[in-house]
This record gives sequence, structure tokens and C-alpha cells, in this order.
Amino acid sequence: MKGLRPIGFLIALLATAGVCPAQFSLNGFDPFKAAKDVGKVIKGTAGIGLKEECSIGGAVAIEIVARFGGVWKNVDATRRVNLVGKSLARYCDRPELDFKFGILNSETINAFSAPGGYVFITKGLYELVGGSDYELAGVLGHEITHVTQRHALKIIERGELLSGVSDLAAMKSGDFAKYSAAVDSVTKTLFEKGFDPKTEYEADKGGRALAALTGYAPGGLRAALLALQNEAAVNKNRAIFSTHPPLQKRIDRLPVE
Amino acid sequence: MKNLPRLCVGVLAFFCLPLLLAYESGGKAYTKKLETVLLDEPKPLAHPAAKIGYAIELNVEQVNGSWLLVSSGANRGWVFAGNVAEKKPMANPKTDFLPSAASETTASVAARPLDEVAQNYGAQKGLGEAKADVEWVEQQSAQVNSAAVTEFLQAKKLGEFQQ
Repeated sequence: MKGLRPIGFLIALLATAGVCPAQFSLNGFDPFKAAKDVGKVIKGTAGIGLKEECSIGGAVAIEIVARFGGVWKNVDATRRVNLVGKSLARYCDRPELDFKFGILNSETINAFSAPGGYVFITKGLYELVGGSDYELAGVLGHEITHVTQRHALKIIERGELLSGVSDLAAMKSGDFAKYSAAVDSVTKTLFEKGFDPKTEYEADKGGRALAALTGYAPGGLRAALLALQNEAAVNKNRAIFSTHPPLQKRIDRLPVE
Repeated sequence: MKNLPRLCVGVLAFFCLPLLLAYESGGKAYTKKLETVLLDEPKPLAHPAAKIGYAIELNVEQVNGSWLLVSSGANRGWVFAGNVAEKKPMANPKTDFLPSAASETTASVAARPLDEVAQNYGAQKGLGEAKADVEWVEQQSAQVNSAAVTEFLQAKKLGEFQQ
């Protein structure tokens, strides 16, 4: 990211001098407003701000829900997931976020999070681990850690100027191309490639620590993964955490407790 | 006997937690909330000893289970480890935090709902139904406000209410 700062500086310099990129030379050009927007591009290169994070996270949440059969509108189960999830979130390292927890109406076994604090688990996963608060806490802690560690945002940030441009192009002019690209880069990772194993193990470690800090037995995530492994042995055709590293590798890295 | 499994989990958590916490006497911690209350004793309902602002460096003087005796200048007191961070937080305290009053209300409206751009994204992609589902989740989630979470933590003996 450091290497991008000179580019941001150059754009700022051009804007200040009135030699602006095409998108700023439209009718009604306001140099002060443009300079402010360029400031946002620079901010984008250094890191995505909370407003942009929540906006992109909202769009990613819509994509998650659309791909997994909508939301399971069970009020009691949703309240329970929110109580356990928000208890964990209270002690996470980004208390400024407004976490929201939902259950996807899908029998597959998976969980997802989106920037800004959206966390979803599938109905299949809820039914498998939802009977135990501490296993549920382990799973939700893993997803919360993806958000607090900004794992999805780092994918966008690696896409160079996308974040800042998405703010300018999409939020101001209604051109969704850049914004869509930012959302696509996250959903492609979530649904196709998955995070790299190192990122997943980091989320396992962070989720386990967060659950323990909140007062849940730290072995909840491991117990949940073992339950999933048993399910996989029984139902070989069932999709279980298809976008995550192999269950055995994750289990092996978590302490027996 | 009925409470035995819960007791075992509690005992296990109590002994494992110090192993997971990175804090130690002589180390540092940082406040991560807009306001952090330091207490006279390592108990959730103890008398407040001081109030400290956001992202303030604290000296960890003593560790007692999941409670830390910390100091910053003239301010000294106990804080639950979950209410501080190992690293200095990076949020903008003026713009990023939600008003605490909003999170305490019983309103069924999300404090940070889908913004206009995300809503337009849903509409342009023909995902109106999914958008409505996300809004349903936001509404359900908003019902579980800060007071409800505190009540849950107290009832389940979690967070600073652990024994």
C-alpha cells in the first residue's frame, strides 16, 4: 500500500492544479468538492473507512443471502444467534461495529461474514451446533474475527485504488462498476476461492480466544469442527465448509481442551 | 448434578483463560471503547474508580483471572480484560462510534442499516428479495440491544459476570 501513496499525491496535485481526470471535468465541476473526494481516494489507498466498509458489507450480505436460499425467518433461533454473537462482539477489538447475525435458509453447512459486521450461518450448521452455546460461540467467534481483522477488506485493498474510487464513482455519480468490482472481489473469495489457509487459521485462533474471553469454554470451535467431521463421515455428499481448509487440518491446529 | 456439566465448563474456562490472555503484570493494554470505567474491585458491580477515554495506553499492574489492575496517570482501577485491547485501536472516535443511547433503545430499527448505495446495488442486480431478507435480519438483530445482551451475560454468567 505504501507504494500507492505517491499516486494519490499526484492525483491530489492534479486536482488542486485544475488538471483533473475526466470524471472531474464534467459540468458543474467543483474543485473544492473534488479535492475532498480525492482525499477519499488517498484514504482508500491507506485503508477503507468505516462508511465504505459498511456499504460494501451490506452489498456482500445481500449477495450471501441471495446465493444461499434467503434467510431462515425463525425469530427464536435468530434471537439466540444474536444473543450469543453480540455477547462475543461486545468484547471484540472493534466495538464501534454494529454486528448483525442471521441464519441462511440452506441445508449446506457453512458460515460467512461480510465487512461492517454481517455474520451468517446456514440452517444446516445451526442445526448441527446450535444446541450447544459454546460450539455456536466458537463458530461465531471465528466469523467475528474475520470482520475485526478486516480479512475481506484486505482483498479489496490489494486491488489498489478500488476502495477509494468506489466511494467516488459509486456513491456520487451512481456508476456501480467500481463498487461492483469491490463487492465481486469479496464474494469471489467467499464463494469460490475461500480465504487462504493462514487467514482461516488466524480466524480460528482469534475466535477461540474471543469465545474464551467471553466466558465460553475455549474448546467450542474444536468441538464444532469435530461434529462437522462426524457429519461428513455419515453424509458424504453434504457440502461442509467447502470454502475452508480441510476440517482435519483445522482440528489439528486447535488445542485439545 | 444437573448443573455439573455447566460447572465443569465454567471451571475449565476459568483455568484456560489466563493461558489465552496475553496480558501480564508490567505489560500494556489500550482502552477500545469511547469510555472505559475502572473499578475499585475486580467485580462487575464494584464502585467506579475512574473513567478513561478512547485508545489510552494503560499499564497492567496485576492480573487476577480475567481482570486487570491498570493505571494511566492518576487513574487506577480494575477492568475486565474484554473491555481493553492488546493493540492500540484505530477507529475514529468522533465518527465511527454509535451513540450509546441508540444502542440502548428497544427500537426495531438497525443502528447502521443498509446504506443507499448497497440498497441500489441490490436493486440493480435484481436482488430485491435478498435485500428485504437482510433488512429482516437487521430488524431482528436490533431487538437484541445492549441491555438485552447485558441481561443475557448476567444470566449465563459470561463476560465480566463470570465467577
